[in-house]
Amino acid sequence: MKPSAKFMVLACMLAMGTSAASAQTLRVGMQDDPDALDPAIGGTYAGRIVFDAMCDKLVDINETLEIVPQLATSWKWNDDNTELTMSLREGVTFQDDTPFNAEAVKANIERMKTIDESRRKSQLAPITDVEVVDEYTIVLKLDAPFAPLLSILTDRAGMMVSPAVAGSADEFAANPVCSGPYKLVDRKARDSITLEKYDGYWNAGEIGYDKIVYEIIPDSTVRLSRLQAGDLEAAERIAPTDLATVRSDEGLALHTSPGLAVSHLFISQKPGAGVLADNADLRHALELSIDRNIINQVAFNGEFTADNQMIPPSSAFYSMSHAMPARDLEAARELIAKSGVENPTIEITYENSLTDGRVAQIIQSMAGEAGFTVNLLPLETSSAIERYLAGNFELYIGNWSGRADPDPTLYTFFGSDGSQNLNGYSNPKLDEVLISARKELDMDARKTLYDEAADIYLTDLPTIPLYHPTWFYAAQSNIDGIKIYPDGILRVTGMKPAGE
Amino acid sequence: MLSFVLRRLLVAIPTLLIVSVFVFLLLKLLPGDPALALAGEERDPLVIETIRAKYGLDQPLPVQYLRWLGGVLQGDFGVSIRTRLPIGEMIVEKLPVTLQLSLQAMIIAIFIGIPAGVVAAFKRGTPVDYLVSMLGLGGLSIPSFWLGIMLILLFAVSLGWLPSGGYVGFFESPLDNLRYSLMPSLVLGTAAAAIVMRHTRSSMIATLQQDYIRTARAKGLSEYVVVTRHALRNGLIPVVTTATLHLGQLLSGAVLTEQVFGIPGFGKMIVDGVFSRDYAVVQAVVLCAAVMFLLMSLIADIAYVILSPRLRA
Repeated sequence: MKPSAKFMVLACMLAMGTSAASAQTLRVGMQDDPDALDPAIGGTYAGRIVFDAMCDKLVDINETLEIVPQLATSWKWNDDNTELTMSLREGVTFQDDTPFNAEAVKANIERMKTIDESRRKSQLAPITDVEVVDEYTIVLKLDAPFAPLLSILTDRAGMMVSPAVAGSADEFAANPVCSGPYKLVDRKARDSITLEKYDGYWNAGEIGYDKIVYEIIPDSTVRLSRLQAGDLEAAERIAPTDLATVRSDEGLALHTSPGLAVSHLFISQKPGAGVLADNADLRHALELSIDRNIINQVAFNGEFTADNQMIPPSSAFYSMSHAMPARDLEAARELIAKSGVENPTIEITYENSLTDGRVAQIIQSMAGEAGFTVNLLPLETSSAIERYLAGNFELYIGNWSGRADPDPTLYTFFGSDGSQNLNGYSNPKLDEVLISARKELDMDARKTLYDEAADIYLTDLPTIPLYHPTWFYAAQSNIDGIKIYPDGILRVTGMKPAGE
Repeated sequence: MLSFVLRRLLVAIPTLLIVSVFVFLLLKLLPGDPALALAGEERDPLVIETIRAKYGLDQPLPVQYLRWLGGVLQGDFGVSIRTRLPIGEMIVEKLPVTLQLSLQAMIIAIFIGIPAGVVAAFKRGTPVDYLVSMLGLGGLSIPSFWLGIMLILLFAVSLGWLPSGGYVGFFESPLDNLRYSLMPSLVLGTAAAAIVMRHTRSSMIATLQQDYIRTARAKGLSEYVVVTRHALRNGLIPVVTTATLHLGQLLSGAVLTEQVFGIPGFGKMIVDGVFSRDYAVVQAVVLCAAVMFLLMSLIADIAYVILSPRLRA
């Protein structure tokens, strides 16, 4: 709402024009500054948003988490699911005009698997060899069937960088060259990242802006006020408490998607790590003392999804046979009595953020009503992460961003040698089920296996999942083509000013 | 005078060394580790080891410090572990921003603080004095982030006169630069104005009780002449010192204000650096801030000497 009268006053008062950028610039308000802009070493969600505009991937996901073509146009597994043959899009060039072809894919996968700082090594470990069949056909060879592979290629591991400049990590991050629709022109640390349209893009017809500026504005209220003032076209991660403002503003549109992320109360199973470590009854008592809907209402205005599983309800692998248990104080007290532990005392460690702090306090009060004494240990982020990685906690509020495929979540947390298995949980039966699911490419058979996995981990309860956040983007209502998927990335392809 | 300045500059070198060692050790005392902060969600142990080795985080502390110092002496501040951007460039980018904000804030503070302080001193004990002191107390007590958000609501959201945040360089567009920097300078200047006002007031009260003022009045000079010729000239000397010193403080980073208005300056750089344990960034910023602070206090001392004839040897 900007009546022209206001502009008249403004013009008279200041005798200067507004600084509104031309209609062809897309300014996006971001909460965080990305880390290194190299898909082989980047590790932040903010970075993934910027990569979407800079770097195309072999494949992408759609809103229902199905795999769809991007730089690869089709793919086929061999009979024993150990070779994935991919046909590549023709006529694609990188932003330095190097042609994209099978050799480039091979160079990229080898780079991700070998450069010393690559964080994609473990994700791509199942690929043992990359074979160039011809200019536009490539075969990825595995030593064993690995169902999550395509899903992994929809994220940073599948992003293609120009082999001509993919030398050292440091130099690449300062001047990245990919094959996406936009090219990096300027980066001011903690301030802004400016991209310009790449004229040689293969899908140029779907690109609606000449320039994108990602502006880093950590405070969500400030992000929203800058959007309202017309200084931004879009802003990510609008706080649940600000949604009413967005919904009531005709000039703004809210774009949402249920997310893949999960927040959970991670419980150490290590001997001597507190009363819950070796006592499943007490863990269930704690779960029964918590009302997840109240957490959602009080901390997130009811805008998130209260849930009891690591995999969100939007996933095809969500277990239908485990409804979220309602709060039952009586049952919780009975379980505590049954466990024989007098006045069970527990300590929750968490990163001292506004949201985790609220969640921790709500749990403290609810569990207190069942007879638990809950101590809170808020720590500054880096300190909290250090304790988490050392497994030095009794309970920890974990925030996991989730993946399109269930394997990177379930195996990572519950597999005996999973990289996030920091609470010492181990169940051979569950390991077996998760590894079978990893090798099974048939959808129905996989679903059955993940149902079985849910049966096991929801009984053992090595962690108590609490809720799944929802992605909230606000944008000017005169922008067309914004689609948010469960991975929470703003996809710039297809976005354009209305009426263009 | 020259020998005084040289002496001060010589003393500055060990001061800066001590500051840098102190900050380095303080950072190392913090729990947490940049390699972990960097490792992202997957936190692959191999990657963490690689990062530690690459940035020398696995070396003994003295080796780490000397490596850093060696780089700085050659004018190389290293790269930010987090973004891989050269820190020297970051400083060149962010220093002018904070410099400009601080100067504008100080100008605002002087234009508000000195007249208010003088008026309060002359009307000492009257309702006017109480009103000015109350406003000064308010200016000191209002949290800058709250004032910032209120100004954004008023001037950006409701009236639409000023941008709600962000920053445009002076050379890109001087007019826009002023529009973007006006509100943050005002927020920063509020507390500084209160400080300048209080110093002006107390210094003027002290000056007005001096014998020479009584003499001037006894000579039958008009009150206006007494104030401008005699009282102000002497009463404002300590204020100049205070203002210059405070400018040094402003330069070391207007943390909250820069955060609220999303201004990419020193304050934001250091906070972010501490949170991501980007040691080299924090050390570089602290070193620059210390240099500025020492420079400003030197200027303040020189100004004091120049302004007070009594101190000229």
